[in-house]
Amino acid sequence: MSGMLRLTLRTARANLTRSLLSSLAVVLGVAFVAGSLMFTDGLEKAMTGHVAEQYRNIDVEVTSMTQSSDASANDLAARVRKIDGVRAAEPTWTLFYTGLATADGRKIAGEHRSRTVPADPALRSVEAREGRLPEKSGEVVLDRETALREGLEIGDKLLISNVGGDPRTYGLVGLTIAEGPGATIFMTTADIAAMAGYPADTVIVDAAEGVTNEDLAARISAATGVEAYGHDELVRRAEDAAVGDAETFRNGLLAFGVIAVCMAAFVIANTFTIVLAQRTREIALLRLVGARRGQVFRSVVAEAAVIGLGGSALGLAVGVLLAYGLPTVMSSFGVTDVSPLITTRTLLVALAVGVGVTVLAALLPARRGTAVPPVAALSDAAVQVARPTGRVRRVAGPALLAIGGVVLAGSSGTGRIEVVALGAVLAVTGFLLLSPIAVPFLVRVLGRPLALLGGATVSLALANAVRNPRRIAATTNALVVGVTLIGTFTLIAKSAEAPAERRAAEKMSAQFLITDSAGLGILPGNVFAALAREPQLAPARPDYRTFDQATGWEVHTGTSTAVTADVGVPVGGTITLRGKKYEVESIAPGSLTVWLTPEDITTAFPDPTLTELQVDPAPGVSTTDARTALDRALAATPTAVAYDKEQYAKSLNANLNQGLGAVTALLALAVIIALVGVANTLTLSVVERTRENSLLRAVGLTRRQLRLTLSAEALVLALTGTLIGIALSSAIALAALRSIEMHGRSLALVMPWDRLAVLLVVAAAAALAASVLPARRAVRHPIAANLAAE
Amino acid sequence: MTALQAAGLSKVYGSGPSAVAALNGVDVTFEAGRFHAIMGASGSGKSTLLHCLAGLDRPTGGSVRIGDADLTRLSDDKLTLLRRDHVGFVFQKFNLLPVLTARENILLPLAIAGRRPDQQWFDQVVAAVGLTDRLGHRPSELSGGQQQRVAVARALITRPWVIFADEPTGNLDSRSGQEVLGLLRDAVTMLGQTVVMVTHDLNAAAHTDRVAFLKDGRFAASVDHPTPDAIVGVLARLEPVR
Repeated sequence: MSGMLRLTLRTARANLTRSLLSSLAVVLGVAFVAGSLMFTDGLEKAMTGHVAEQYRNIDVEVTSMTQSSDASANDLAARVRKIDGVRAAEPTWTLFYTGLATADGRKIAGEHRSRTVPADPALRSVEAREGRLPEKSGEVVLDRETALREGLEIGDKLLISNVGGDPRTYGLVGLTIAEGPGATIFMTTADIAAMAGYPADTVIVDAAEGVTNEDLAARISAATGVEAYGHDELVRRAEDAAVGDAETFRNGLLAFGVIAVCMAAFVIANTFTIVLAQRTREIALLRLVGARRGQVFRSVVAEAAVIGLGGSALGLAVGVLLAYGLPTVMSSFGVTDVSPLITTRTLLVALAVGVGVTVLAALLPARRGTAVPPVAALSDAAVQVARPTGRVRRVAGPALLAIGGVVLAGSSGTGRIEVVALGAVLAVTGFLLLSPIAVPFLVRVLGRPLALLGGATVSLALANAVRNPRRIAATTNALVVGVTLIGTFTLIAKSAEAPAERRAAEKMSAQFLITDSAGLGILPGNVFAALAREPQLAPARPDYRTFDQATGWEVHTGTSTAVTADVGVPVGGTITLRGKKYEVESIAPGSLTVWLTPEDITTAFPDPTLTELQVDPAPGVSTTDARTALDRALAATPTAVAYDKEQYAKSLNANLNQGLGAVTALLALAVIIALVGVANTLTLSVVERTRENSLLRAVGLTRRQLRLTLSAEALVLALTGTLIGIALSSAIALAALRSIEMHGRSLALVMPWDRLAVLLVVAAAAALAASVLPARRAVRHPIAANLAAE
Repeated sequence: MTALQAAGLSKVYGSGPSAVAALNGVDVTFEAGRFHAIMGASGSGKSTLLHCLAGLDRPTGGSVRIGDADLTRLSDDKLTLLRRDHVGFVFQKFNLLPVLTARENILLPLAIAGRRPDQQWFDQVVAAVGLTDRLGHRPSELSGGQQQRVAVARALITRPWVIFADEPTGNLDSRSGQEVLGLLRDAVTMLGQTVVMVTHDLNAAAHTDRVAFLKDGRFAASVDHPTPDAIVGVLARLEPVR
């Protein structure tokens, strides 16, 4: 075996370019997996480190889970202070969806949060990186990232408000580190208490000398009946949550890693099949001089292992680059200060994945490719005869395709996405089995117009492309799978997005809609008054909501008095709310809800919630002027945003688009690996056709024409794969949309032609790029030497 | 009239002390409308000479003229176009593209050039090589002799200035070999073509009008209207049996 091993290594080294090519797919797959692991390990470390930092000076935290109106937490703090062993205790708030704007009314978008700076320095876990912490009312500290991004400096004035609350002006006195995706704002206890408007449910405690945190926590729990945890327990719980978050994120990334690795396996298997076919005579010669079949097989598997090892090493290196690149991308999600972590586990996983996938993918080709009779060494078979498509494929392919199609069609209205997934997997598998017949057929059909345009060179390219049906099928299949994945996500996302415009149109009766930036449906009541002061705006139509304790009815805003059927009052009857009588004018769908005019609601209820406002320009005022007036009116309310129809539809789709962007970027790797496969196949075909190409050059094919031939071959492969993928994804997306069709509400399949066109163009351009190196190689061959070569 | 002429032709492989001169100043002229053979022992440079004459390889020194073109002064593209339009080739093997039918292989130079074939000429050529009923077959479905006849037809289809043949009978049984030689002979006699053939087969050389002999990369001798005996005589003189 050692002799065979030496031969294996020599072969691998002699075919270095070929080996590198086959390992490129491994490199990309391993790089992604390793990069994801390194990044998420770093993320986990940063997140756990962060939470530990947040509890730095908290010995015990007391959190009242049940918020009852009478158990004021200020009282809670007072009660805790009296307990023996407590040196200091203060109430603390964390407010989410804080509104933030510069003093001139420029709103800063994002999910901001406000936190408390305890008065007692011994209880503070936050510190100012620049400037100082807030010491008196009206001072705040902001995270450095937000300040940098928004160009804010110490000394600037900021407008800050709780969601639904009135804003107040604060002075920026220092900068600190961020805790989340949006801005993090720190303010004094008095300020945050005033902004929150409700008592704190959390009290933080500093233990006296000689008391352990755990003992004190137990003592506080016993005395107040409220849950209290010691420092270590707090950190542990927060870390668990952080690790869980990192874990979820890691699993998400790794799912795409698995796709990329499967794609790489496809490409490797195909590469080995081709390489071994080309080595038929070499292998036969080995057999002729006495190598057993098992020996040859093992030598091929060993070669795969060597390539896998090399690919993994390179992949790890690329993965490090990737992991360092990811934080810049992720910073938009609020993940900052993450430096990738390289662990032994990551190294082992990367090697195992690289070597394992390469060896596994090479097993089947190795078994087939080494089944060569020794006499093959003596024969003069210059051209490989392609194996015909097996009966299993001919029968199972159409069968699976048909079953998959039926399942997809039958999933309509079931609301079960897993049925769609099953149908999709069956249909795609069926197609893959059938591909050695289907792909060459499609290539011929698609290539016909190209051949008419391109003449003899393109005809030649087409003939070359389909000469080995299995090879072309295996090459395009990787592309088909990648494009199907991207296509399905794109089509579903774009179809789901289309109704947003309709929804926006249905909802918006006026030109502008004013709502809160967090989408919670809570606006400060004074916004209505602020709009009323602008003469360039028509009177705004507010939407109030409230709840009537006495009747248990939801109270909504309508144009007239209406009730749902289960309120039990017919049209013309009267309902009584807070001692006032209203005549019911219509019945509306819904449950236990009544509709009153805005005036009726504000008169009857002391503090109804203002959810949103719709407003038109005053008669004769241009949209632009109205918009200016609107922005002026809302300048003092950081949480309020005004949309026109287009902006509102966009805001409804913002998350969807962000998600689609991320998924597409991650799946793009799969498509890139598939295109590496196209380049692989072309390169190997060029090697195989060296003499043919020399003959063509001898009888008058110019270098340009030879390049064109190869480009055309790559192009037709890429276009066929992409079109098949788009067709499959359309069917899957259609089924998926049909499956969630319920109560007559359905999503129509929207074909985003622009995106699909981009996909085609990108695939075509990439294929052309993929043909550059093989073509250069083909063109460089000296004609005479190759014609003479045996 | 001179169809093809080499002057001071040399071809050196490698450089420095390891340099090997395959051709060492060859001066040779090939008359138009005649059937020429190039002979010589293995390593005498006859294949290199053919490649240089045909514009498949670039000589290190000297010049090659086909018709009025100096091959050594042409760019790769011009040279390719010259081969396409004015030179025909018949090689020992790998003469045909496996993915094309016999008809497509014959028409290949015209297809590459984007030119329409002259149907009458095509029919005449195909009839001459006796392939009329085989045009739809791929090379793998043809015998060695038939494949070589397709190659001859491809060489003739452009009515080239010169046809180069490199051991065209080397891979064939003697009957097929005779047929192919007969075809080349007919191309010269009946169609007025110029054929230059490298061979080491005495019988093949005996079909030609003139044999040029190479020794150690130099022009050594020539025999007009050769007979096998005359060729054996020259060879014996050039490579004395020890």
